[in-house]
Amino acid sequence: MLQDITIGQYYPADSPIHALDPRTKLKAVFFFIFCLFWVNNIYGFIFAGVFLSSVVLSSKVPVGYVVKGLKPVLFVVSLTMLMSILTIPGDEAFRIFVFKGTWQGLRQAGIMAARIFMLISSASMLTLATSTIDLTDGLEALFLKIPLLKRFAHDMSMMMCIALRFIPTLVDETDRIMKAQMSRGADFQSGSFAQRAKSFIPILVPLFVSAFQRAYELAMAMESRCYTGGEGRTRMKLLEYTKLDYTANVVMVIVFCSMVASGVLVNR
Amino acid sequence: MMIQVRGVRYKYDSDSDSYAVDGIDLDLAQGEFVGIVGHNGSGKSTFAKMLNGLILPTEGSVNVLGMDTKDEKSLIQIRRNIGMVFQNPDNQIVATIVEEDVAFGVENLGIEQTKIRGIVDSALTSVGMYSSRLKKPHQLSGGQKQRVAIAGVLAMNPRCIILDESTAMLDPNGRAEVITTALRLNKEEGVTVVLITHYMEELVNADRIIAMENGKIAFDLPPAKAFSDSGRLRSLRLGVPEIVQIASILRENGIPIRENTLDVEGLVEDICQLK
Repeated sequence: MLQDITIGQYYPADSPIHALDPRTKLKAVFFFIFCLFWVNNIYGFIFAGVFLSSVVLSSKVPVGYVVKGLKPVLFVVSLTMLMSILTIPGDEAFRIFVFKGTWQGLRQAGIMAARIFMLISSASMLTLATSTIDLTDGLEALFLKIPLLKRFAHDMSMMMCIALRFIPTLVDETDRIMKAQMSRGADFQSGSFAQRAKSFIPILVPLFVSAFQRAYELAMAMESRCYTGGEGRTRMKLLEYTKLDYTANVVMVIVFCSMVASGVLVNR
Repeated sequence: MMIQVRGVRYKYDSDSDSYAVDGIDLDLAQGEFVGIVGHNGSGKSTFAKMLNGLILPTEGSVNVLGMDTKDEKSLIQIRRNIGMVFQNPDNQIVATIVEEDVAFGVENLGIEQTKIRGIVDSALTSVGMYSSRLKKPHQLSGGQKQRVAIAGVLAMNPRCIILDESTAMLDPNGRAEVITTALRLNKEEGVTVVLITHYMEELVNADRIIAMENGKIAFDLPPAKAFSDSGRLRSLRLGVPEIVQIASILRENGIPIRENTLDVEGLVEDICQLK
């Protein structure tokens, strides 16, 4: 049962979005989110919405996947929407008992919801259309450009890579330990929440012990293959920008400028 | 001599009197296929880890291609020349994709980016894993994982490969895959192979078998001689390969089987001579 776990939420497909360099996608998401906070009127959101939906459509990722990503924030968003509708002062739009909804509040709530939904969608678009390895490589490459983070770039990507490598191994191991404990009469299903949580201790302890053992052996294997850290290391695969990335950059500059411009101009 | 071991002793705990490796002198020449056997705790794995400087001897010295393993500056050179494949296939694969893992050692050496691809491809081809180069490690069988690990070592172009109980966790098919690969590298590409194992039948093609007991070398003989004294093997808690047993029973019963018959083919040949 544990074998079904998928790592990240990568949706493999053959699309121009998938083919983009991970650095381009990372930068795009960063600037898109940045611009989203700049936008505060309908025109800006139309630009953003059209851009985002054309990205989703051209990525060949089913729209449902992206929508599913919004579920976890639905509750928080509706709650904050309600709060802002009711608390922001202004002209009355409707009234339920003593609660007064204002036009200003409605507007603010709409902007905020659109902002958060687009923010989440753009982030899940990134992880849906970029494999974890590409993402790691992209992050390392970008971190290397940032003076403060430069020192950690290699270590971070190496750790992420090893973590990704060992997730399936440890999942298998957990499965094995669970079966071993079950065959000795362990019960993970019944009892109160506290009891069930407690019954996981006999799984976690051996899992941790073996994880440390693995870490020790892996460190030795890496050492015997001449690993001395990021310095002086070369890479087999280098990230290379293609024509597609340049095109994407141009599109992004246009879209992001219009988003920002709409915010500045219309509000005058 | 490629590797010279002189008076090496090692203890894990500096307060204790017991040595895991207790006085070993050994020479390994280029191109040899050497088996090291011994029951658990005989010191064979500890000894193997001294050959590429993962463990430094408490006393004595290990000299690899003229470099002392105690000299920290030459460790990288020693390790690229003495590759090591470990027991657990899962705990030595670093990357999430086969070809990336094979590239790991080469990348560590800082070899030019344009050359890495060719090196990795030829290492994968050499162990017969080229068609699986884009797979994820957990999609491979145990034997395949060990072959990837061998490819990872091979990519660094080593003079010697140490297989530290690399077959211990594999099923018979996986074991055969690894042994065939090691033999081929030894015979065709002249790589020195040090094979540490529990299974005597893996060593019928070795040039020498070194048996260890209590951190010392119990004997250092060619396979035919090593297998001939089953009493001594038993006292070292080592098995005799099935074919050698059958041959010796046949010999006892007056059927002329040659002394150096160690595998099925040889035995069949000898028996067919009888007609």
